[in-house]
Parts: sequence; structure tokens; C-alpha cells
Amino acid sequence: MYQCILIVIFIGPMSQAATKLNLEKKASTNLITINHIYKESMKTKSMFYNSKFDKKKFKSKVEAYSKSLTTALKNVQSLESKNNTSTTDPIALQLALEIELIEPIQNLANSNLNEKSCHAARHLNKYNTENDTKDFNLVDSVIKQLCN
Amino acid sequence: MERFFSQIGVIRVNLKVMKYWLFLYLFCSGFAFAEIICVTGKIKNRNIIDQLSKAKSNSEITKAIYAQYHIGFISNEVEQAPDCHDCQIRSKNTSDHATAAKEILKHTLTGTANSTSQTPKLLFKPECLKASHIAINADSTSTQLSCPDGKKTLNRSFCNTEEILHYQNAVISNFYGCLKSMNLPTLSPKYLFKKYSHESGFKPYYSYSGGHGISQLVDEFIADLYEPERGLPFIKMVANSETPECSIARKILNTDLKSSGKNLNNRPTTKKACSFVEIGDGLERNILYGLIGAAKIAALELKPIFEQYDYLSKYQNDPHFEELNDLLILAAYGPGGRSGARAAIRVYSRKNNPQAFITTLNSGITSRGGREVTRYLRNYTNSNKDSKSKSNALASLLPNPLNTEFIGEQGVDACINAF
Repeated sequence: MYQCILIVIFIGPMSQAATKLNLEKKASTNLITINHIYKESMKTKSMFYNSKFDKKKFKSKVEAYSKSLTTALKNVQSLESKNNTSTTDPIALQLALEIELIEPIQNLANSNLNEKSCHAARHLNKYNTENDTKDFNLVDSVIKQLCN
Repeated sequence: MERFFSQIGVIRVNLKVMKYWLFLYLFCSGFAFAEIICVTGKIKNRNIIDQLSKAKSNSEITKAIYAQYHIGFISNEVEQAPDCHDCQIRSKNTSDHATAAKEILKHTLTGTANSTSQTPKLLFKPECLKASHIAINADSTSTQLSCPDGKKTLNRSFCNTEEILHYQNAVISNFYGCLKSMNLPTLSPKYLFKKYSHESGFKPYYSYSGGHGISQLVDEFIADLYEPERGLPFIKMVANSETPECSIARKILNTDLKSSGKNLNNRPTTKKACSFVEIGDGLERNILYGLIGAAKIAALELKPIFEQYDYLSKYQNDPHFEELNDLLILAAYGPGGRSGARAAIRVYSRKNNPQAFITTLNSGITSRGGREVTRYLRNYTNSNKDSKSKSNALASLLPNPLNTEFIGEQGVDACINAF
């Protein structure tokens, strides 16, 4: 009986504190992982937009980049929900924006690269990035390499 | 001598006749002048008034709107006004419809008219439209387009009359009804009122940094409506519709499609700014394209992403879903807003019901890279200081009980007529 009381008084709160500590540690690890995923995605973005494109490898390159963004967003959202926090929403939002920004390039990759599809890609990029010259130029540079 | 006096007599008689005519002229012109009361602007700057009266006789679109909504001789105000003495004076001086006006007014005053069943409803309560127009344009320093020359002018504050406001209300109501009859969901009336209030304060010739007219349309927006795989199917859908509600919208769209040419190289463009501003077909085109554009955003940009995340199956019937959809349409309506609105759905639809999603949007969201997704939306919510002060100014101009309803729980809904 005495032992049970001891367990309740000391070990109970101690285990609760340990669980809390564990959760906090896990949350912090998740946060580090989310930041890592974001940094890696930005590196991939830079590599993608700075690479040279030719008609042969264009489609596979775009598919790979698009897949990497989708996976990154999925992973961030899954870690976020484990943490039950919204502090990393701006990261998820940025990744979602990147997915939106490559849509004109994706459409182009799935087309015959003819005049019509080039025009449509240019238009969608302009419409997507109005007032945002930096993003516009990134996507435009890819379109220019494939549509002359 | 006798002849001389008789001649003086003739002159005297003529003077009497002249005095009579002079009196009659001043009396009538006095009434005609009293007719024009500027809600905002200066009476000497009659640019919009002159264009409206020109459109009333030249434009098939304006004529059709006047005929359907009985503008100039019967309106909500006439029906509701307790003292119709003023209405009678007004109707007598509305030259274009004088006879019909007298007839309808006579019936209205004797209570035999069945006008409500014949006149389509206006979307916005006229008192609210007037209050919004005055409150938003209180400083009256905004640039306006002078048409037909298309020059921007800051110094001339054009006179806007109640008739002009009533006309805009009728055009918006007509095109809204058209899209509704085709099941093309556009912005809800509440957010349409907010949009027009904030975009231009129902000032039809307002022009600001690339945006023109009542909906503040920019050329990218129009260009998107003429892209074959984006907005064009929506334009064609309305142009080819058979619903009687779209008869006026069809006139504008069929003319535009015809003049655009096969390759759409001559599509309407805001480079010819007056074609999106001038009463007769410009103001009307502006309103129509703004509404179709919003419908396109809902159906083409937002719906597929909502579906991708199974949001519609879960929440389409949620009481807050319509408002969420409205807010996202507005977020996408702004420059570059499309990608932001769609990205927001990707992120927040996973963990938020519509009410929580609305709270998130209203509190403002910015991406890690610094893109403020809700930048355009900020202007419409009362979390914005400027918006709040304008909303307060609008409320203070409303008569009771509208004022109490607007300040109270109803908010902007108090300004909307059941449609």
C-alpha cells in the first residue's frame, strides 16, 4: 500500500513530465526536419531553374521537380499534424506556391511545344506572377529555352 | 400719330408675350436644372451625365436596361417614398419617358400598379449604394477617365447622379441574374457589394494604376478571359446561352466575339480604356467581364483544387462554405492572386473546416518566401483600419432602420435585396 502511494506521488508526475519532455523533444525534432525539408526544396528549386533544358529531357526533369515538391509538401504537412501546430504554415504555403508556379511549365511539358502551347504557358505565367517579377523571370527563362 | 401709338401698343403686347415666354422658359429650365443633383462631383463636370443621356437614345444595351428596370420613372425609391410629391416633379422632367412615367406614377400613387412583378429586383438597396458612393469618394481626389478621349484627369470631379447609381445597380442586377440563371456561381451579392465599394465606390469612371472602371479591371484579367483553354469557354457559354435573363449580356459578348476576329487578336483590351468605362457598352462590359471572371475563378481555379482535397464532398453544404469561396475568389481576383488562392487551399483545407479557414484568411497569411497571399483580401475585411473607417462612414450615412441593421448582426447583408 505504502509503495503504491509512493508510486502515485513520485513516479506518476515524473513519468508525466518525461512524456511531456519526450513530446517537446519530438516536436523540436519535427521542426528541425521541416526546416531541413524546406531548405532542401529551395536547393532543388535553384538547381531546377538554373539548369539547361532541351526538348528531350524536359518532361522527365519537370516531372521529377514536381514530384519532389509534392512529396516535400506532404511530408511537411504530415509532420505539422503530428506537432499539432500552425507555426510552420508559411513553409507549407511556400511549397504549395512553388507547385502552382511550375504549372505553366508542366503544361508545356505535356504539350507538343507548339506555338499555341507556348503562348498558353507564357500567359499563365504572367497571370500567376503579376506584380512578382522574380518568380515571373524564373519560369519565363525556362519557357524561353523551349519556345523560340 | 395714331399709327405711332398703335405700333407702341404692338411692341407692348409683344413685350408681354416675350415676358411670358421668358418666364415659362426660366420656370421650365429651372425645373430641369433642379433635376440634376450630383450625389458626388460637380455639376459643371457633366461628362458622365451627357454620356448617359446619349446612351439612352443610342445604345441598345442602355435602352434595354432602362426598359427592363423602369429607370427614370419608377424605382425602389418611388415605391417606398412616403411623400411622392418630389417623384412627380422628377417624373415630369424626365423627358425621355415622360408619358410612360406619368402613367406608371399615376398607377403607383393610386395603388393599381403591379410594378413589383414586372420590374426585376435590384441587387443592392439604393440607399446603401448611395451611402457607399459618398463614403468611399468623400475625398474625391481619385483619378477618373475622361471619355471618349481616354485621358486621365485628377482635377475634374465628374457629377454622379442618383440616376447613374440606379443604372449601375440595374446593370449589376441584370448580369448577376444572367449568371445565376445559368448556374454559373460568381461572387455572392454581399461580397459583390464589398468589392464594388472598395474597388471604385460605384464611381464608373474611376481609374487607378492600370485598373479601370467600377470593377477596376486590368488587362491580364481580360486577356485571361480570352484564352481558349481558360476564360473563353465561359464567355462563349454566356454568349450562346438561351436564357432570357442573359439577353443583354449576349448583346455585349456577341459583339465582342465578332470584333475579336478568328484569332482573337482584336479582343477587348483596357488599352482602349473607355471601352471598359463609357456608359452605353463600356461600363456594362466592365461589370459583365468582372462577374464572368469571378465565375471563372470559382469554377476553373478553385473548384478543382477543392475537389483534389475532397473538401467539397465534406463541406459544400456547410453554412460557411459560400463565404470561404467568396474570400478565395477575391484573393484570386487580385494581381497574381490565382496561385496564392490555390496554394492556400492546398495548405489549409487539410486541417480547417470552412469557418476556421475563413478565420485564417481574415487574419492574413504570408508564405516563407514573403508572398502575402491575402494582400488583396485585406482591403475587404474590417481587420483593415482603412476599410473599417470607410465601413463606419458608410453606416453613418444610412437611414434607419438600415443603419441599425448594418451596424448590427446583419452587416453588409442589410444592403442586399433578396434575389
